Amino acid sequence: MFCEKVIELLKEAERNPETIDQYNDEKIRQVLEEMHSLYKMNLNDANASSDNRSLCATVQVRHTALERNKRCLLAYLYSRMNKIKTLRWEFGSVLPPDVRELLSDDEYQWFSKYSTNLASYMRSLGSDIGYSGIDLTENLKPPKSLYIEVLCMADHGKLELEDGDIITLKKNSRHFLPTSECQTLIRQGILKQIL
Amino acid sequence: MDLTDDIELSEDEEISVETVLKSVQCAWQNERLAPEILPHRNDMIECMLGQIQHMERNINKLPKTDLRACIHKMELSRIKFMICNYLKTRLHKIEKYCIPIIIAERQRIESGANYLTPAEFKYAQEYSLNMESHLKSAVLAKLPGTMETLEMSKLAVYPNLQSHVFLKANTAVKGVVLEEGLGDQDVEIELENGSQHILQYKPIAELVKNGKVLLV
Amino acid sequence: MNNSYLSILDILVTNERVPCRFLHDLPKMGFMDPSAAEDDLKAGATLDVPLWLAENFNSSCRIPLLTVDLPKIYKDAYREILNADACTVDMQKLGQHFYELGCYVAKHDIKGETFRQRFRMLMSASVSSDSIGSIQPLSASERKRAAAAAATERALSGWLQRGDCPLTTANMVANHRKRKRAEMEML
Repeated sequence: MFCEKVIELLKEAERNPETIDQYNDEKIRQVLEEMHSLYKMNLNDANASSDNRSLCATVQVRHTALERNKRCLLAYLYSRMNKIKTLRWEFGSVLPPDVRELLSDDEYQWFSKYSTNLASYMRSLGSDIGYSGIDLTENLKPPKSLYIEVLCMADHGKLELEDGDIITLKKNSRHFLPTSECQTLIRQGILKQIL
Repeated sequence: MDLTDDIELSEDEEISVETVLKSVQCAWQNERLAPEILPHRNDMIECMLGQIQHMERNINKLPKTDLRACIHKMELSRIKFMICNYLKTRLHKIEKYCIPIIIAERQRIESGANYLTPAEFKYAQEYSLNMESHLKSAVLAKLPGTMETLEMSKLAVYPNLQSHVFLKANTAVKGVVLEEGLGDQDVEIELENGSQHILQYKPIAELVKNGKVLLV
Repeated sequence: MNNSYLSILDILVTNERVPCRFLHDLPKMGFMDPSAAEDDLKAGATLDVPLWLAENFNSSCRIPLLTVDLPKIYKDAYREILNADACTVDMQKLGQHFYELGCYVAKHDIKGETFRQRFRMLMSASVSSDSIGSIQPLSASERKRAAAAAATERALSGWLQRGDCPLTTANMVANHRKRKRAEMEML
């Protein structure tokens, strides 16, 4: 039955809503192959169908299958696009290499353009009153307290705070820091909040 | 430095920081809870940002250990969160519903009643173009023959205006028409000042936009 | 219901099969019927066809190719079971997309009553975090709702324990109240 391969692709995409899987080049290639073969069969039969009305129906059925495959492929891309968006908000504008690998080249290009567009918009915020932009990817959770205690999960070198103090982030060191300055590092897993 | 200070907006209007904050909070609440994108409140946002800048400068003059400084910093960080969340919510709606938003906004711009700020509109257009070119290069260009064409409008996602919302009436409102789903007659209701209701969003959409009701 | 072009849910729902009877011959499509040995699909053949295909060729078209019958899960014996006690039904086996497919093919109240009964069950199960695993297997959309309800519940009890700042509270509590009230309204 046609359009079954493409459904496998979609079910794969839905299986792990919290993460993104490897771009399935191979399955997509197979779906495209199916589409090219259906299209070719239709081209052949379309000429004969003016004499044979039943063949006309067959051509219609194949056309519906072609449209269906197209819709499914686009839905696959779209669903991944939304996940890639989340990557920008969670990892920042630079993706770790193991995440970058999961994206196709086209997707990485989309990610870069999305990132640029977002940065450009954020820079424009408050520009009329002298702000140099607002980073909307910070401030994702409402602030509970001004200072929080954190545990450093990995060596991260020196961190300069807003007030000029410099602290050294060594693995397993504990610190009491302003929330606003830890958020990104916590999100990236370098610091962990001690509750 | 306190929230009770007044801001001069123009020669005839003076407005307290508290009022601006209240407007920003209402705008944020409505935007979070409404299914569609609402008219922007950039004037209030920029005003608030200006105030935050002013307050931050004053706070930084105090010694770090001053208790007042801590309290004010906390307050400021909450306000900043609210503003960021408001802007982020709008961005996500713009991304999700970008095709119908762009179409509707083009018409609204002509009559001067735009919902998006110029920066947001530019963002929406770039986003839409980016999506289109991605779909083209990743899939459409590889399809056989005439299959590669695609009407972008087919990809449109529309907000569900029939979803239910909680609201509070800020003033008495007459003549709210509710469509009965099963083909029966429409019902007209009245909202008393201060009353709370749960209704479908669509009939009260305009009331949210002109401030007569607040989503809660 | 969200039936936008790019919705994976809608694509999966329309992938469900419905019983059809073909009105005309369909050359070269014999492979659709696993029990047929010929190349061509003959008029009169009855088989289960995916909804996306059946939709395009049923009686609403200019030249109908097939007629669609109601899937058995919406008929007779199954309706009796669902009317008697919807909560004991294994929804995962019966129909992953029972409600959504019903919107496409069935015009009856069976969906509404089934939904109401199972919703009450879902609601009380999701408030206590461990019982959700013990109730009968759910349809895809039921599972999503249960997960969302459980998440809100966890967030609420987290807030009750920690005592957060006003901004967080207002949003979460309001949403939780909204959900509970919306659900009560529906019953």
